[in-house]
Amino acid sequence: MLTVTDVRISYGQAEVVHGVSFAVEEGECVALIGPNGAGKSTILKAICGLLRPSAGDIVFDGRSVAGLPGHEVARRGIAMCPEGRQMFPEMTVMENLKLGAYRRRSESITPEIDEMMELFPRLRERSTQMAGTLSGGEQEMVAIARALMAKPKLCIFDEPSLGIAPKVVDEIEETLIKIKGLGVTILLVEQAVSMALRVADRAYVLEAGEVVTAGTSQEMSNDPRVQSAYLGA
Amino acid sequence: MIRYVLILAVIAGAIAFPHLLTSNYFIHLAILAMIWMIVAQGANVIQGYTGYVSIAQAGFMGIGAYSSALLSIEAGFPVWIAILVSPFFTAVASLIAGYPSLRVKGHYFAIVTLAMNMVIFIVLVNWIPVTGGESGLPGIPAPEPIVIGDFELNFLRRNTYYYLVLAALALVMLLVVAVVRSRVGLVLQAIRQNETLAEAAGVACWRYKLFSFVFSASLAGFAGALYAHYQAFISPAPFSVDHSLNAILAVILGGSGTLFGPLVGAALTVALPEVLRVAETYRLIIYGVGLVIVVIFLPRGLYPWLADLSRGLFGRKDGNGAEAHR
Repeated sequence: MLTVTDVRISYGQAEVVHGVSFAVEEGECVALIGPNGAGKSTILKAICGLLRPSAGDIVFDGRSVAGLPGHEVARRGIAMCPEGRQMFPEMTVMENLKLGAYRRRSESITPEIDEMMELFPRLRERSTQMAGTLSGGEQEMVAIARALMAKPKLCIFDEPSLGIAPKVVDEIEETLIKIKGLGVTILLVEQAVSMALRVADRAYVLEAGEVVTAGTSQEMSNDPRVQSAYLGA
Repeated sequence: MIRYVLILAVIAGAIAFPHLLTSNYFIHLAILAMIWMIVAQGANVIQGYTGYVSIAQAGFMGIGAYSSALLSIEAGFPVWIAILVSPFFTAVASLIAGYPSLRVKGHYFAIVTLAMNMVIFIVLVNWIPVTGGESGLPGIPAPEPIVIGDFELNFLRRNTYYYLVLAALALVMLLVVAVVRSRVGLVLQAIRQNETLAEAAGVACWRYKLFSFVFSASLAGFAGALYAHYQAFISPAPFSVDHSLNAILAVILGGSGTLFGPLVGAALTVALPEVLRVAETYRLIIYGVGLVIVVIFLPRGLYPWLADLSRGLFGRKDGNGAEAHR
């Protein structure tokens, strides 16, 4: 469904992603893991149209999306849930969800709103509250629900566990597993490696702008290098 | 409920105003204030709701004023037509100017619009065969009188013009309310709050920003036309950057991103310098200090503060303060 082929990305003169390739098949959950500065977010920016790769191609659903403006990429069916609980803080939870469904503005979105309220019962209680006044975990739920409202073919989660209490991270993990159960194709970018490997089917390990190893989550959890570098084993 | 009662009271007050304060001076100030309210409401759309500060509002007001004046003097159009057409001239100018400048964000956009206003001003001063340069355009006609049987509305009379501008302001308010409460309005606010996220949700942000910019400029152009036919004479002076800053000030002072804030703010930016005339040379100092105090202690502006105050007075239970003054 999403195929990234030999993508190179530079900020000005400095190349930070040196030819990365990976693929996400339909119905799969793929994790992109790696330390700070590995180029994870940069690759996501390129997929979402915020950066243009200097070489290589990004193909989604059979068509290249490299260099398309961000809103076009979104319209093709990629929803992005950016890091740092991004939402519209001075809008109600409900308005945030409505804007998430902007791509489908001519359709009825009531069934999806109900679905989101089922998935996140706490948002039902908070639906008329300003999103900015919610707790960190609740804001992350708004961000996730907002992304899902677009009924995306592929949903990208960028560090959903970042800056969130450990207990809530467990909740987010359960949520991601539930979303996966709904049949949504997921690309998960995480530094919380153990969590990512529990959720994802496959994983790519990124270091200093290159894929250093890849395989099923099982293989990755057993890989001694991954264990020593990320899992504290 | 109380909100609607207050709105009705303000409208009734505005209608009664020329009969309560019959002095020409006050009516003159009220007309200017309402014209500035239209400009400020336009600035509010781009600045308060969309989050992009435009320092070109007075320039666009100038385009509206000169195009309406020239259409009626040189091209011989009826004044009514000229007033209604001039916002479209402004819209075209702002479309051409806005398309490239909306590629830059934040402060850079503000600087580009500042330059835009300077360009407009320089053209008004130097294109002497058309604009008359510094010496301006005299003899701009008032709108043609409306005669219904024995009853005549003569717009050379200050009172009649007052009601014309009041009606125009009401029309602008209805338009802005319709835009802000629509899905377009929601998207504009989404752009203000998180543009990247709006883009990620599939919003073609540039299109909405351009709409917002052109809409706000058209309102300024409309206000400019009303100004030109009221004053009967225009020169480039009122369309300089200084006055664009006044429009921005009105929005911040009154309450950015609220429907009634810019009205309060524009009224104050017109009235305060007049009221402070008693202080003579100290007037600008007092004015400046007052503004600094408001910005420090009421960063959301006067209107949200007044709204909270009245809510406290009437003891209305409303857990969601921000909702009420949107």
